[in-house]
Amino acid sequence: MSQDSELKINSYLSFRLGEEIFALHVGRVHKILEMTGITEVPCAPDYMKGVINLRGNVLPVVDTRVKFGMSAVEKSKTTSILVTEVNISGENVLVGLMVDAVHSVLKLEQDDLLPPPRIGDKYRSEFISNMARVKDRFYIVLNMDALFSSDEQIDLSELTQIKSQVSQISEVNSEIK
Amino acid sequence: MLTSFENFQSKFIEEALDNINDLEQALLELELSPCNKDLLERVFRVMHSLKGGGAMFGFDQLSEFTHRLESIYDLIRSGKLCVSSSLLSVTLKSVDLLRDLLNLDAVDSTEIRSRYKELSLAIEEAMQHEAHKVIASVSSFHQKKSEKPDEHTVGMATYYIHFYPGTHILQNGTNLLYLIDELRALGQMYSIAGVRNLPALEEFSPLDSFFFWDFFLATDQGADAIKDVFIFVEDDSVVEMHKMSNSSLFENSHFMERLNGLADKQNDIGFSDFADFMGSEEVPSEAADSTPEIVSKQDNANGRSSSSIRVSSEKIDGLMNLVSELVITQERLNLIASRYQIPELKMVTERVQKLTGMLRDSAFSISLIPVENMLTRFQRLVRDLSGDLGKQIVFTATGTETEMDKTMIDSLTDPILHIIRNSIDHGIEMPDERLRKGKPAKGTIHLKAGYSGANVVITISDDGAGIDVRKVRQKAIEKEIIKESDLLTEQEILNLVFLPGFSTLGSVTELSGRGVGMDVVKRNIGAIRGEVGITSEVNKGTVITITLPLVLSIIDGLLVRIGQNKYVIPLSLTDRIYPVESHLLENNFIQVMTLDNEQVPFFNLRREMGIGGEAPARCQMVVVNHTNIRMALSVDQVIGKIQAVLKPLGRLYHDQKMVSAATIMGDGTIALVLDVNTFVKQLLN
Repeated sequence: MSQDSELKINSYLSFRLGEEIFALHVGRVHKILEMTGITEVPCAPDYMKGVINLRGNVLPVVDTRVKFGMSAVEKSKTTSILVTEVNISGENVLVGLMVDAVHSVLKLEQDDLLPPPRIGDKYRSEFISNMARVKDRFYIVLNMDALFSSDEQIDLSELTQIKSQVSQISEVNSEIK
Repeated sequence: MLTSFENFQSKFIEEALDNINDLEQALLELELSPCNKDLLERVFRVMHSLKGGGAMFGFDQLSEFTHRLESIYDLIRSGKLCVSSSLLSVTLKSVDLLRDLLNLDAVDSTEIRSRYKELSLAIEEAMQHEAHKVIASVSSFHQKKSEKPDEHTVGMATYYIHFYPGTHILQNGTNLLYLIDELRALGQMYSIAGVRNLPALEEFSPLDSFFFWDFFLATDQGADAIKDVFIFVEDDSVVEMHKMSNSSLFENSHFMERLNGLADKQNDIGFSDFADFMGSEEVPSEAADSTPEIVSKQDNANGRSSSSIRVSSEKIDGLMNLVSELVITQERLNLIASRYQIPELKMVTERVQKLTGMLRDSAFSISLIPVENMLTRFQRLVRDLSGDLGKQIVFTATGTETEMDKTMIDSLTDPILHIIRNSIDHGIEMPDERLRKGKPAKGTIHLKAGYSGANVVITISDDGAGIDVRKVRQKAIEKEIIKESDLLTEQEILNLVFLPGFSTLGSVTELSGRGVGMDVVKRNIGAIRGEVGITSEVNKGTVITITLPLVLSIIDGLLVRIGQNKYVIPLSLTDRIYPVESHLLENNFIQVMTLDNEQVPFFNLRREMGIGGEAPARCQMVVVNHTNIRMALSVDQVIGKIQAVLKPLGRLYHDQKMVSAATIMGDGTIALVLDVNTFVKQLLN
């Protein structure tokens, strides 16, 4: 998906990981799959869950919970795989993201999107492309490219911390107004 | 019309580039065997079609220049000149110019113009300089020839040419007026045009041509020159040529009268109308010439076009995808057939399997081209550079039949050129220095290509000075790449040359120090998922190894199971399978097992790959041969043979070493392809 159309379409797909809600631009999500059998690849990092057959092609699947420092996904009825497009060092690749549940498609106007927070650990905040605010609820819009360019596990608690900080600030701001 | 003409131009460029490459290769071969008549013919043929095509498609300079070149080789062919290395140097330089002349935008640049002039002069000079070196034995041959005068060079003659280009000629994009202009350029010409087979108006198609021409041409260029004009249309056209007279009939007033008279009266002027003008001067020996010579031969044309065709790479990609899907579907059919045990179904399945395999192999071979195709440029580089530097170097290659994807070969050429340039410039020493070191004066650069499992391995080795590890270390410290205190193994130090901003030679030479270093080589090869390694020994030489995955590939594999997962071991590597009690694997410290009275090192794949779960009581040892190393891999179960369509695991599994690819099986599940190479490396360390 080109940069232009990504800017025009303002739909975001929200999904749940544990107790936290994240959002991704729909332009990045190609498909939502039900959980299927995953072929494990030996000697890979823990969060690399394995590979699946996506219409005759091999799709790597990431256990997003492990990548975010949570316990591995407990398979349930709602567990899904989001087939998303990420850009890793200039190359567009498809990656399957295991998530606990897919929520809904959000319409986010430009006003709802807050800039990435400048507070907190600068390195960590680069994984957030925006904070979104819908009906006083905050979502973290993830920067997929940055997430997958890093081989490390990311501590989710830091992300949520940043989120609560941002929401506090915006509350303070609105009070001042 | 203009756009379609441009379209033909681009087709011509494509073809011409092929021709030029062929020419270059033939010239390099000619240097090794200067007396080879076939090679000379090949050179000549290529030049000829370049000349003809160039003129036709508006590459006038190309055509003109090729003509000059051709004249040298004409002399060689007739034995008046002999092939010398200086002559070849000029020709090879000219070949480079020919390539540039194909770029119509740059043709008028001053740089190309000056090169054009320079080389034209050089050709003249070479011809004059070499001309007196006629070999004595040839002169007697020449004398024999001169008794029977050569057709090409006889003087004035008048020809009658009947030319009917066929109805479809315009659809080829041929501009008939160009042809006629070309013909006119040969001498004095009288042409009469007519129409033939003209259909009724309602059936008339504006794309068809109904014209024919009768030409009377007085020329001193000989019959071959006339044939050359029609060389590109002869397949579809009727071209009849008769020699009317050994002088110009245009000077004969009777002839002109008759001609003018006939042209006014009748549409169709035949050769026979002028029969009486021929008899008087006709020499009996030329009777053969005056019988109608129909140049077009349909089956001849067919035979030529079937030898090779051009196909766009997209079509090939499409074909490969279809074949991959077919292979997967076929595996599925196998699965179903084995489930139901119907004899007829089984028969059909087996037949389909066989056909799929054959189809796969031939489809695969289409998209691959042998490594040989890129060698010409390397040979050329070695030849030119070693000459410039005063070094004596031979370039040899083995395993050139190794086939690779075309795009891969394209992106490999530049890195390898750079590596070879390095070898010539820094590696191989000057002849006297080599003699001092007790080495032959002539250095060798050797390129070896071959398959290794699912990889293609290309090594480029030279027997030059090698890389001094201490110097590299010193340099790295100067450039602050490493610290004085850092402890590195020799191999680690050698690998430093791949880092950006590293160049061991202090002075930047013109050849290999244009600010592009081994880091670019590494990056370019990395871009096609390859790896580069280097080993070097002082005064022995340097070996650079490029390992590339065989992408787009389908292999025969042995399907095995370990734990829950299925794996594929390339069948070409497997040798034997032995059943073994599992406990023998567990209590084995030296990792060697005796199979058939032979000590074989082995890998317990369950342990190597960290696969949990209970091992079966009996496991299978698959013995594989890989680059002269024999080893065994333990698996839980051997399932059978499979055709595996290799799919890359993708960027995220880039660091994965034990598994080189994945394949999708008939039931839609995935099996992983084991990279036997990794285990070999592990064994060697």
